[in-house]
Amino acid sequence: MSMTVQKRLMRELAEVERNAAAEFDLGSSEDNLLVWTAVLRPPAPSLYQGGVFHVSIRVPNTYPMTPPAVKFSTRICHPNIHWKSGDVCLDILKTAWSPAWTLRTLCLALLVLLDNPEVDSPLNCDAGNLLRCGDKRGYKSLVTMLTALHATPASASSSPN
Amino acid sequence: MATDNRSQLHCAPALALAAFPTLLPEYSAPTHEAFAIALAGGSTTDLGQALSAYSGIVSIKGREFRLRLELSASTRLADAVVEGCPALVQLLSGCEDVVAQRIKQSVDLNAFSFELRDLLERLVDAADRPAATGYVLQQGLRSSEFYTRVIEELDAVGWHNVSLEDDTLSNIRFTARDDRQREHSLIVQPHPQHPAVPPTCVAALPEPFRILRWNSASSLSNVFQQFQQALQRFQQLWDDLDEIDANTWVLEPERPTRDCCHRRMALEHNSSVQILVNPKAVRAVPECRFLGADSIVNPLRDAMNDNISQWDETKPLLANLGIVLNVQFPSPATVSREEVTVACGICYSYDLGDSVPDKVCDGPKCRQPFHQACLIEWLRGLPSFQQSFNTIFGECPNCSKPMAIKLMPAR
Repeated sequence: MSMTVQKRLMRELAEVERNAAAEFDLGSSEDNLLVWTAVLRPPAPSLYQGGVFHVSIRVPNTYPMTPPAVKFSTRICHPNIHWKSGDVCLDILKTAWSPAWTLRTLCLALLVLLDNPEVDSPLNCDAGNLLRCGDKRGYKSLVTMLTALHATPASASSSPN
Repeated sequence: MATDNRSQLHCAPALALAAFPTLLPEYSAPTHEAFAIALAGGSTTDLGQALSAYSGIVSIKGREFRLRLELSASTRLADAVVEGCPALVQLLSGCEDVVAQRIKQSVDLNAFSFELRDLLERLVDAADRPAATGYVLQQGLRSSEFYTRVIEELDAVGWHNVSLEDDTLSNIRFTARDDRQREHSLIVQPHPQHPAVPPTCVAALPEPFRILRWNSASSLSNVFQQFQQALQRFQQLWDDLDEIDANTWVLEPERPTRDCCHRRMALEHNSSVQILVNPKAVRAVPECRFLGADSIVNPLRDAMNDNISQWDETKPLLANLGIVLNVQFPSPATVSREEVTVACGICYSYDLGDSVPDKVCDGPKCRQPFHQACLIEWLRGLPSFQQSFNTIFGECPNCSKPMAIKLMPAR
């Protein structure tokens, strides 16, 4: 790991510990600063409220020049998140990445994405199609049900991997 | 050691050869490549034995050299002739007089072999580190008079002002306090031919410290006095710079030394001003360089041009700068370092090698500083990257506003 990455990640870790957020936990793995885990807890008005979503974040050696690789390890029903693999389709993780983003702001962006799906680039076509057809009620009940099934602490959490 | 070794050789030849100093008396004259270092006669050390030649192998730091020492008819060690293999001769070249001196001073062959071993070890070290050769030889040439004289002179200086950096008196540290109780050090390296040749002095002063009027009657206490006088000359400079160090956030240098005449002081909005003070004219207008976003720095530059007539050479630097630039410097008492030293928006650190984040986005709401190297690395990877001569164009990673970055050669 280069010094630049290490220095920057140490700063980010300190920053995360200083400003803990209620909506998510974020931390690096004990033995590898390049492996991070986020736990998202979408707050009240969100469709996903009550769910607890684990996200694995792998930081490349070229960070922050290239974005980290993000995957949901908890199953989630969302048009831009792959049901099986947990891959996320988000512009800032691809072309719109900028070194100004941090892992912390990335988690905020993921929370925003949950309630603002981009139906034109779906990874989960079934969820996307419901929204495209305007079936908001169907989409809402599907998401609520699958969140309760897969992402509540009570539910036996099933992982896509 | 010379005669007893014969029996050792019988029982354990390998052992006897490995443990230098090992010189064995020989009864037939060797025929190996002879290269003699003629040694001038001097002391009358008598070996007290009839053997006239010794030869053996010297093992120094993994390297082996053949050595032969032949005594003349007088059997005095000082008249001996030392011969060696070509590698040894090459190693000793230039040090013949040292070998001669050592052999003269040695009481017996045993003592000489220890001296020779010591010298060879130093030379082998020096051969590995070519820069140190001169130092090694200097060390080898010091006489007891040198030490006596230097110690006497240090007595005169006063031992409370002296601390020794090593036990060979080759680096002596003098410590002096100036009128304001600031502590200053002077490293003195007495020359082996002290006092005929003046010592070398190293001090952290804004101008190099030179010894004046040195003659063979001069002593180290003259040097100490001259150092104290030299300190007097810079009192005003240090007073003014200390005031700046205490009352502003100095970003560079991080730990200013006494020879350092420049300071980079933090200003508001991620900008800073670097001043270079002339130690000969402390209170004259210093050379100023502004760093930061143009929208912040240009008004400062204008203010300086407009108010330069108000510069008052009787006032301290900090007061003058405050008036001329019309700014209040953020003070360490009220502002934390994190607030003034805003880290680079890409690598999140402040120091990156020698460079600091001095490329600043001009956006009025952004003003995010970046290291030049970080910014270039990022912008180069973008499809929109453009370069025209020494200016590169791109978007601020923080606010996406177009940026034009003038490349400065790396310092």
